[in-house]
Amino acid sequence: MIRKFDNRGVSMLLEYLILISILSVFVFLLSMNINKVLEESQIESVVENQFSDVASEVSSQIVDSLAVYPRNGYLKTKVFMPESIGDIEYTVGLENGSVVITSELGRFQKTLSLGAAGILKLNLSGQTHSLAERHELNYTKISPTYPSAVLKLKPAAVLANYTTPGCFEVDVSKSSAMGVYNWRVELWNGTVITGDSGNTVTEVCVYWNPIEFNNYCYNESGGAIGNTAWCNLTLTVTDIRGLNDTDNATILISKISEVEPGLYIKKFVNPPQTEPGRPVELHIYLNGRGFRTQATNLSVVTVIDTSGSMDDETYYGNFAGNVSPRVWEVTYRINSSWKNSRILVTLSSPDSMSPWWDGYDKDDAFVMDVYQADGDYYRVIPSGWSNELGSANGIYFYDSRVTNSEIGNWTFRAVVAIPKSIPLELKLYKRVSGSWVLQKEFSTTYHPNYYTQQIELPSGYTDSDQFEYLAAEIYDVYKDDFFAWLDSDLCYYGGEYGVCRTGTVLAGTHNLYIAPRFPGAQQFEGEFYIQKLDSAKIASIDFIDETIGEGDYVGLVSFSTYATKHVVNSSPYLPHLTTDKNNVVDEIKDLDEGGWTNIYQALAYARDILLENTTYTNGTLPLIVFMTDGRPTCKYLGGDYNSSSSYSCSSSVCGSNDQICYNQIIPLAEDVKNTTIGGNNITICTIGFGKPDDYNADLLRDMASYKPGSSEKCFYEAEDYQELSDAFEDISRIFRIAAKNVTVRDVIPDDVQILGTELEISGSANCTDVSLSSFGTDTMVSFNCSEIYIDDEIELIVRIVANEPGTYFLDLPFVSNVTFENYPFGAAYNQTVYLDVVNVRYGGSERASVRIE
Amino acid sequence: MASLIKDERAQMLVFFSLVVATILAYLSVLHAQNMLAGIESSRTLMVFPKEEIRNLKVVGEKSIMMFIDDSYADFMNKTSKISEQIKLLYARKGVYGDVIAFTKSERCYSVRITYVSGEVEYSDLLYCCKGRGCV
Repeated sequence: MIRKFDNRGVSMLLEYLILISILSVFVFLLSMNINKVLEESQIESVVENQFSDVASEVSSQIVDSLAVYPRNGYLKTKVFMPESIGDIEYTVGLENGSVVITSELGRFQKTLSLGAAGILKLNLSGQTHSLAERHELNYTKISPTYPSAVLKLKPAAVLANYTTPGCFEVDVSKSSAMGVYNWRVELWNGTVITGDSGNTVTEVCVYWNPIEFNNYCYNESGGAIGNTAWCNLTLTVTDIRGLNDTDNATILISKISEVEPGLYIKKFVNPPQTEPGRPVELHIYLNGRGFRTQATNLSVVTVIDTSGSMDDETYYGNFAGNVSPRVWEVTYRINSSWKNSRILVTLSSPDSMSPWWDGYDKDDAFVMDVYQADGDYYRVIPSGWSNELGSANGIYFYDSRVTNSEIGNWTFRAVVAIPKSIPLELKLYKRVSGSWVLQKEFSTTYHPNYYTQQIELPSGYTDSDQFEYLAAEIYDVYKDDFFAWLDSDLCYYGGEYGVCRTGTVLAGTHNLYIAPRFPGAQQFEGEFYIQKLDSAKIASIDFIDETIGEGDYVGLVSFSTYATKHVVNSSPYLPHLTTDKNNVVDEIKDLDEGGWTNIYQALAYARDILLENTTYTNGTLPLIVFMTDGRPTCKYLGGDYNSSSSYSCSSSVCGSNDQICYNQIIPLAEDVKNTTIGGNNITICTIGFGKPDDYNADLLRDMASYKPGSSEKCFYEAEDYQELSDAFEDISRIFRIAAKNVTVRDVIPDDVQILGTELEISGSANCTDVSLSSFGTDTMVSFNCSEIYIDDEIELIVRIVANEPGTYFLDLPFVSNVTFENYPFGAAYNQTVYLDVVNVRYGGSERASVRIE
Repeated sequence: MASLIKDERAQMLVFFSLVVATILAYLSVLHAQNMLAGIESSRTLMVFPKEEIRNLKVVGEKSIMMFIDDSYADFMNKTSKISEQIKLLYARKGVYGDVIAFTKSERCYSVRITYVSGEVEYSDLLYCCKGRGCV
C-alpha cells in the first residue's frame, strides 16, 4: 500500500482539534485573569468611591451635629450605609479625629479626617459593622458646670433652753447647679432636711439638750459641753445629672447669752468648675455672730421730751416730679366785622369742680393765654375779682377795641388746674348795641395732666392710729406754677397755695395730687412733714421693738414743765419697769405735747426708775436714752426734786447759753453715770432733735456716756424724722458689735481676669467700697468695715474669668486674710483669720463626645 | 466524519463565542461603573434638620427669656402655651418638637429642648440666666 503524501501535516480534523485545544488553553488561561480584570479592579474603584461616600456621610453628620450641638444633652442621628460594597462587608469607626472604614479582611481601608472639629471639639469613638441592623451617631455633651453647695446659717448663733427653742434659718440659696437641684441638710444628730432649688430656706428650731449635744456636737474650747455647743450641719447639693457637692457650717447653740461675739468667715467660689471663658464668682462672706456684747439683759429707760415745741413740724419725706400741663388750644379768625368792636372771651366750666375746689375760689383754677393776630400776647390770671367770671366758674379776656392790625387768627391756650376731667367752654362775645352778643362757642372735655404721690403714715405708733397732722409744701420756686391737694383737700395754708396741713389724720396711705397751673409749668419739688412728737413716737417705739428682747426691762419718762414716770407694770414692787414692752408702747402712743423743758427732773426720774428695785434689775445693763428737742427752760430751785415747786421755768431762767441749768444737770448726769447696778454703770445716750440751735448740743454731749469700747460719746443729733430713727437704731446696736476695724484682703492671680466686684451688706455694718490694687503681678481686692454688728451679713463678690483650661488658686497664703478687733475690742484683741484656699477649675477635658454604634 | 472535516461552521461558532464573551465583559465593567455614584452623603445633606433644631434653640434661649421678669405663674403659663404651639407646629411636619421651661427663679430658668424625627433625635437641657445667656 502506497501512502500518498500531501502538504498537510495533520488532517483537517486534527488541525481543528489542535487549534481548538490551543485556543481552549488560551481561553482558560485568559479566564484565570478575567476575574481580576473584570471584577476586582472594578471593586477596587467601587470600594474606593463608596467608602469615601460613607465616610463623607458620617463626616457630614458630625459637622451637622456641631452646627446644632446641644450644650447639655444629646443628638442621635441615623447613618445609612450599604450592607456591602463590591460584595465586601466593612466596619466604620471613629478614631484619631477621623472616620475610618475598613473592609472585613482589612484589604481596603479609607480614612477621612474631620480636621480641627474632630481634634479640638470632639472625643470620637465607636465602631459599627455594615451588616448591623442600624447605625447611629450619638453626640453627647454634658455641661462642665458642676453643682456648688453653699450653706449659710442665719443667725449663726442661737439661744436655746429646755423650754424655749432657738431658731435659725438654713439658707442654701447661694448654692448653684446646672438647672434645678435637690439639697439635703444633715444636722449633727442625723436629722435630715431636704428641699429643692425652688425652696432654699428653711427654719430649724432646737431645744437645749446636753445629752444630744455631748454626743454629736463639740466644745470649741475642748472638753464636755457646758453652756454652749458647736454643732455641724452638712449640705449636699445634687443636680439633675447626679453630680453633687457638699458644704459644712457650724451653728453655735447656747443657753446663756454671755457668749463673746465674733465673726463667722466663709470663702467659696461658685461654680467651682466650669468651662473656659465662663465667669465665676468668688465670695467672701462675713457674718457677725453672737448675742450681745455685755451683760445678760438690758434695763432701758426711754426719756421723751413732750414740751410745746414738739408740736412743730419735722421733715417726713419729699416728693418731686415733672408734669406737663394739658393745654386746650383754640384758634379762631377774628374777621373785619369785629373791627372797632369790643371783644369778650370767656373760659369756663359748668362743672362743680367738687371736691377739689370746694370752699375755695374756683376761678383760680383757670388760666388762659391769648395770642392776637398782631402778635400781642396776654396771660389771663384770676386775681381777687380781676378777670374772674362772677356767674360761672371761669375767667374772661376783654379788649375794648379790635384794631385793624388785630384782624386775623387769634389763638387761645387754656389750662385748668384740677385732678379730674371736666367740661370746658370757650365763648367769644361782641358788644352790639350795648349788649354782649355770643359770636362763637367752643367746648371740649378737658382731661388734665396731674401727678400723684403716695405717702404712708405707719400704723401702731399713735393713739387710735391718729397722727396729729400731716403737712406738705411745694418749694417756693415752684409754688406759683402748681396747685396741690392732700387727699381731696386743696393745699392752702397760712394764706398760701401749695402748702397744706391736715387736722388729725389716720395712719395709712395718703395721696398728694399736683396739677400744673400754667402752660409752661413742668417741674416741682416739695416735702412732707409730721409733728415732731409723732415722729419721736415712731422712732422710740421702733427702738423698743428692736432693742428690747426677752428678759429685758423697759420704762418710760416723759417731760415738759415737769417729768412723768409712767406706770407700766401692775407690780407694786416695780411699777415703772416692765418686761412687757407693749405696756410702754401704749404709754408712748398716748403722749401729748405742751409745756417747758425740764431736763433735770427727767434725768433724775430716769435714774430713779433704774434704781427702783435692783432686786430685779441687778445684773442687767442699765441704759437711759434721753431725747429732747429743746434747750433746758426749767431751773432746779433745790429741795425735793419730785416737787413741782422745786422748779422755775421760763425761756430765760437758765441764763445765758443755759449755763445755770447746765451747771445743775451735768453734775446730776455724772452722778447717774457713776451709779452702778449689779456692777454695771448706767449708760446715758442723748439725742438732740431738731435744728442745731433748738437744743443745747454741748449739754447733751456732756450728759452722754462713752459708747462701749469707744472713745466716742453716745450723743446723736437728728434734724428730722429719719435721722431720729437712725439715732435710735444706732443706740440699739451699741451693745451688738461683733467686730471692729475689719479689713478683708484677697489676691486674685494675674492669669485670672477680674470682671467686677460687688459688696452686699445686710444690716448696719459700716464698710468702705471695694478697692483693687496691684500686688506684684496679681491684684489685691480689699475693703474695710469700721464695725460689724451681730447678725450683720457682708458679702464680697468678685466676678472672675479664665480663658484657658486649668486649676486656678484664688488665694495667696498669709496675704489673703481678714483682720479685725475681737471683743472686747482694742489693739490688744487684734485677730487675723487666713482665708480658705479655694480654687476654680476651668475644665478642658469636658469636650463633647461622638460615638458611632 | 469526512463531512465534518470540511465543515467550517464550528470556527464561526468559536469566533462568535469570543465576540459574545467580549461584549459580556464590557457590560460587566459598565455595570460596575454604574455603581460608583455615591448616594449616602447626599441623603445626609437632605435629611438633617438643622434649621428645625436651630429654631427650637432660639425659642428656648431667647424667646422665653422675654418672660423672665414675669411672675412665676405667668412665666409658666406663657411657656406652656409656647410648648403646645411648637408641638402642634412640628407635628404637622411629621416630627416631634418641644421647648418646655420647667423651673424659674428671679433671673434664671431651665428649659428642655427636644426634637425627634425618623432619622434624628435631639435633646438639650439649658440653664438660662438674664444677662448671662445659657449654659
